[in-house]
Amino acid sequence: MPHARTRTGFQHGLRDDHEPGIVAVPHSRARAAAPDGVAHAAMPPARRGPPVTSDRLAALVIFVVAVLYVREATTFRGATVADVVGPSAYPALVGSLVAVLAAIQFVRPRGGADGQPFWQQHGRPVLLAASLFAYTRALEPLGFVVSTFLYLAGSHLWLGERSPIRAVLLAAALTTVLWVVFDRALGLALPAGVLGR
Amino acid sequence: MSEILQNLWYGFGVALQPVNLLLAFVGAFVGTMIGVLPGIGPVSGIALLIPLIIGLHPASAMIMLTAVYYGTMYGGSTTSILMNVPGEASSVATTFDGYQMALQGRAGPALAIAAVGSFIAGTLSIVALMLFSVPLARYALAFGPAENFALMVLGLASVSTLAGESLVKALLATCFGLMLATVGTDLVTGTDRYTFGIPQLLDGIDLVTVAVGLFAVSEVMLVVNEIAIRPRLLALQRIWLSARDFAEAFWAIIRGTVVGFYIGILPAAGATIASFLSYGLEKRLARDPSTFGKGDIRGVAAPEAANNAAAVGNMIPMLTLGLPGSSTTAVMMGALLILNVLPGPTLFQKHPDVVWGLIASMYVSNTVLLVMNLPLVGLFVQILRTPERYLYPLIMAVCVVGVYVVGRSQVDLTLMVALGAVGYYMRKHDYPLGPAILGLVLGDRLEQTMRQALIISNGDPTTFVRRPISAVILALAVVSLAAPALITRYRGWRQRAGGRVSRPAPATDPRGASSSTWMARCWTRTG
Repeated sequence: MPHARTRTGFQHGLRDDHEPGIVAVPHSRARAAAPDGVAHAAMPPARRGPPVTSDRLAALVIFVVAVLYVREATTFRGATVADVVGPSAYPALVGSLVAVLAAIQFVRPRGGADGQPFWQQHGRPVLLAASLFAYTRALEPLGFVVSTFLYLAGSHLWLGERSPIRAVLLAAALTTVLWVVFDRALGLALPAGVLGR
Repeated sequence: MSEILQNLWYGFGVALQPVNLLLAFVGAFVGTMIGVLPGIGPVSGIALLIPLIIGLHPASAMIMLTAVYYGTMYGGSTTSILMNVPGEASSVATTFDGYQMALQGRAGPALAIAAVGSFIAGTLSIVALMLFSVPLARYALAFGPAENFALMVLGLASVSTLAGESLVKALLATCFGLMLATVGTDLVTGTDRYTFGIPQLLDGIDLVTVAVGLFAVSEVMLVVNEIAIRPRLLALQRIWLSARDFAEAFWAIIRGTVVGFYIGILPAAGATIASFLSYGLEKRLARDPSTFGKGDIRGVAAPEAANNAAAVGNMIPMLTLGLPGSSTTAVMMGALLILNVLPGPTLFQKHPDVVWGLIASMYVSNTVLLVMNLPLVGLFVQILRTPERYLYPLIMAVCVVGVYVVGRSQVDLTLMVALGAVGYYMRKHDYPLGPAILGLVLGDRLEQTMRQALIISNGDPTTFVRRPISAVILALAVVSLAAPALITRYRGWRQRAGGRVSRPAPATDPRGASSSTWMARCWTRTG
């Protein structure tokens, strides 16, 4: 995919502070050392970036979730004679532990702030998740064959396939293979949707 | 001893039934593909197979899953050597010397020693597994709910300690799994918990949904940013191994097996850590350590032997105590639970066919992989050369099918995507994923054993520390949580006192980053 290499947003995406996925290991050698160094000196935690780090924000969100989780736990009713503990105690315990952990993380955050604009760094992953979500919503109403074909063809195109014909043909072929394997051979009865059965 | 041989004979009878043999072949093949492909690792790969094994006999199902597990290890080492791409975290150590060997045109011997080393290690540690697990299971039969609760706490604590760079984040990940496990109907009282009126959640959140969402979807979300990167593929010549190569690597294999097996038994320390430790050990034992990282065959043999031995060792706590030591064994245990087989000491009595069939099938899978993989290595490499723009959408479609067929519900799919997003955030910010899946699998039993223990003690919470075995195990859990911080503090104190810092020389890799951090990163990445 030579054209993909020249796309600048992409290149920026690669300059991400974190260890990328397994595909990139050969290229990440140089960068792997940097966060490692931080991690090793991380007692006391290395503080870099502005005070509002993403870890702090996450700690806040986790804390709120934990509080809601515990509050919900206190509403559970239904004890039996033998069960002295009841359905609420254990979730309340776990939730409280989470709240404490979140508080610790808020006081001593470890990560820095994200270096790049959100969309440059997370644009493609978000698009991937969004298209996957659309696909899962369409699976039952449109049926496996139609929704999978549309998802595959569309994904081929936005992931860098330049020939629409190839994108469509491959999507059709792969959809057929998947359908034959899962529906016919393994008998999993995938949703038929608009095509009926 | 003769009892064990008898059981093993019986196990081979199970494993060599034509159906099971076929399943072992299919599993080994699929597993190798999973090991080679980015995006689907052993955790999500095994989880995706769960819907397919539901109708099978538990013994057959476990035989297939074991073959898959073994296959992923083989596949991972293949890509490590040929492309410097470790398919799994446990084969990262193999890249150090394996890829260097391939660069020097010695890919053939590297692949061969990886296969032979894995085979020897696998076989030896299966023998050890048989010798260890029977007495351990017998001992564990005396455990009551309090002891089992303590044991699971220890398992979760030690996984959290070893899992990532930050203990707090690892513990948060563990608790995330525990919280997910509380969704659904409470088994004791029948109360709905955290279902928010959604009927599909009454049965709880499915393991397949979580494993696929957290591991596979998030992995693809992560690598989709790196589509431009193409690993260089080295030409593959004939695969051969000279007697000299083998002689050189032989003791490395044996040492790797011993290290790997013992590390594997410990809850939480899995194949990844074992492979790094044995690599470090070989380097320290070598007369000339400078050859490591430059294509030393021992640097391939030792970690490959270790990660296979650890994979077997990992089965011991899972089978005898019901305590999985890694995310992969956690998913396998989840599969057993779905098949209504409760792992633990009673497994050996209630389902001898599962235990011994599984143990025998480890031999079978080892052999199958040895004969199947070397000729097929070219095919697997071709799979990796498929452009990502075709590969990733296909992987996602398979995930969607796999999750959908479990419960036939839209809710599961939505959860899968949401968990994928959560997993992506976790990977980006160094929250380890392994503890989350472990928490999910152990969560239900953790709560049940806690409640049972408290019912027995009439609600007295001191029962956990009053019973001696439980108290010792809980103390170990506390120690394992506190140890890293204490060690760091001690070192800092020594340093300030002007004393020489007697740091146990970390098993360094050629990159200069110490291996423990590498392990942490790998765990974060692939669990």
